[in-house]
Amino acid sequence: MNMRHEIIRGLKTEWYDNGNIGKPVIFFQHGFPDHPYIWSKQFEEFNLDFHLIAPSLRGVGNSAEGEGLSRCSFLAYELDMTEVLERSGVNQSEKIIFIAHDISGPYIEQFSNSFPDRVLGVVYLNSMPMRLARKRLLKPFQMLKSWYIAPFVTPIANRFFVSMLLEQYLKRFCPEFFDSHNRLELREAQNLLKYYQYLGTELVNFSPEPISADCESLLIFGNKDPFVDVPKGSDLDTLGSVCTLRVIEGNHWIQDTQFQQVNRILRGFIDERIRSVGKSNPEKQKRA
Amino acid sequence: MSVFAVLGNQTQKNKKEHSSGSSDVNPGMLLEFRKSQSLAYGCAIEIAQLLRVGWTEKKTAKMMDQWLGDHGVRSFFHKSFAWFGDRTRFQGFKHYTDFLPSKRVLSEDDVIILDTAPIFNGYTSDIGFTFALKPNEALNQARADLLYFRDLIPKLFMKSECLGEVWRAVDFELVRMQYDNCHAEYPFGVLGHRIHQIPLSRFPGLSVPFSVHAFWSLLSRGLMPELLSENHRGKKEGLWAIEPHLGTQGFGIKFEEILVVDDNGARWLTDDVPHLNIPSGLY
Repeated sequence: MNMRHEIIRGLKTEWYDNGNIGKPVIFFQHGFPDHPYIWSKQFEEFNLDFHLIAPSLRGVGNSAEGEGLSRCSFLAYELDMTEVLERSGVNQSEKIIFIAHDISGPYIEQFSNSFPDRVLGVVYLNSMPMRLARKRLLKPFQMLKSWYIAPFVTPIANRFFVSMLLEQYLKRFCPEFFDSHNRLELREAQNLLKYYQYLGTELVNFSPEPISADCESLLIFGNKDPFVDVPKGSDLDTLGSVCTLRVIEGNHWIQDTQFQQVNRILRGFIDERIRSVGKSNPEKQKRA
Repeated sequence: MSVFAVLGNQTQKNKKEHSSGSSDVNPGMLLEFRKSQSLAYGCAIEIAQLLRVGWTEKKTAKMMDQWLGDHGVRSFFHKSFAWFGDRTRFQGFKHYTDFLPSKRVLSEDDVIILDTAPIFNGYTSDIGFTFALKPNEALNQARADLLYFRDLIPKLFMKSECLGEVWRAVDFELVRMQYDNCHAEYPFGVLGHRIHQIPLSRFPGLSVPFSVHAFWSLLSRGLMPELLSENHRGKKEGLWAIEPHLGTQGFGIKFEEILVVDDNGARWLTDDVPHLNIPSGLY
């Protein structure tokens, strides 16, 4: 894989870039405990026709951690990613398809809300935007599935928790995780806990900015995901934008385990979004 | 009556008290202050170029603080401010809290002011930059008038016996040019304030928007000689963050930058500032 390493705002930053400058851009963001390699099946599928960019979150691979939680904030992420896009040769006027997995959903949501003119569409893959996550986390079933968030957001103890229990837990509930994650080190998983800590504070303090992006979004969920409960159609009202919900047979890492089906859905969404470019006021509708 | 005639009308009784003394600022320190100011302007320009319709003042100001934090700033003289539209002229501001960044959303036609004051490696800077996201003829005219004050203020510093005269002369010119004096609305109605090297600047500022570093810096030196207000008394040598703020129909415009005043006279720290050369994509 063609990984780029550059210093961005003082920190070493790593991202996958296939270098297809000028082609439509797809931006992938991995979650926890992951790295850009989790998208390898999508890279194979879209490599020829698209400019693919997939950054590592801070603390993963060669992307350096920041001091404290400072570089895990939504604003830091937005500043970092605008720089990544610029250095990848993505023009300011190019519209981008964003694909988020797991905890990266809120980050992609914030980015797309800040720069609506750069967004062609957003795909949340077993992931949710912050507005939806705050609502869903109050539902008993999702609360049960999210039990691990409490130990994850507890400073210091969370590192022990991950080192002692994460592997056993994933082996028990997500055995397929180990098929595609042989490159991830425990240290990297522990580094990513900072994102949980930041999101934990945001869950409490989050003050939504006015929604400036009414971009079309697609939510894809695996019906056997042990961490994310599939939202109901009525929950999607929170998003206030055109969105489609797709539920498929699968677990948490469906982009890897169910890649053929996921790629087919992504291809359909991306093609439809590209066709729609130029239509300034797409008809608002909800499909669930 | 010219602005210099206003200065001439001032009494001479405090001439000895306000006569020049030597400045404590050496060239090495000026270089550090310049780095701090360049960083602050770099922040304002980059955030200005990222700014989108729909952002709130709060988000914009937080983004500036984040940017500066990522570039090594550990504390602030004051945290960043952003004002949009008619808030740039402090329309309807009654309380201290009205100056804080609000949930006001940016519209396409708004004039924008970004103002921040980082302490970088112990050296304070305080900058202000006014711009718009699309061409604005009224703003261009006001900017030309604002730059007249950029030329005028160093001359006023050189000619005046006390700095209260500078404040009054600027006010006189503002009125003559049919602008409102918005800097009179600032706390203590200041046209500017002194800036200093700050010890222990790696410690967090604790209070917002003005940090304990700011309070210590000003209060430990007696406060009033540190503020360029209408009734200023004290020597004029040192470094000043000068911020003339003009108000006109529907918007305000200001710049803020460091003025060096020493035995050699009064001069701006650098001419490499965005109000003299508007960055691409901004108006």
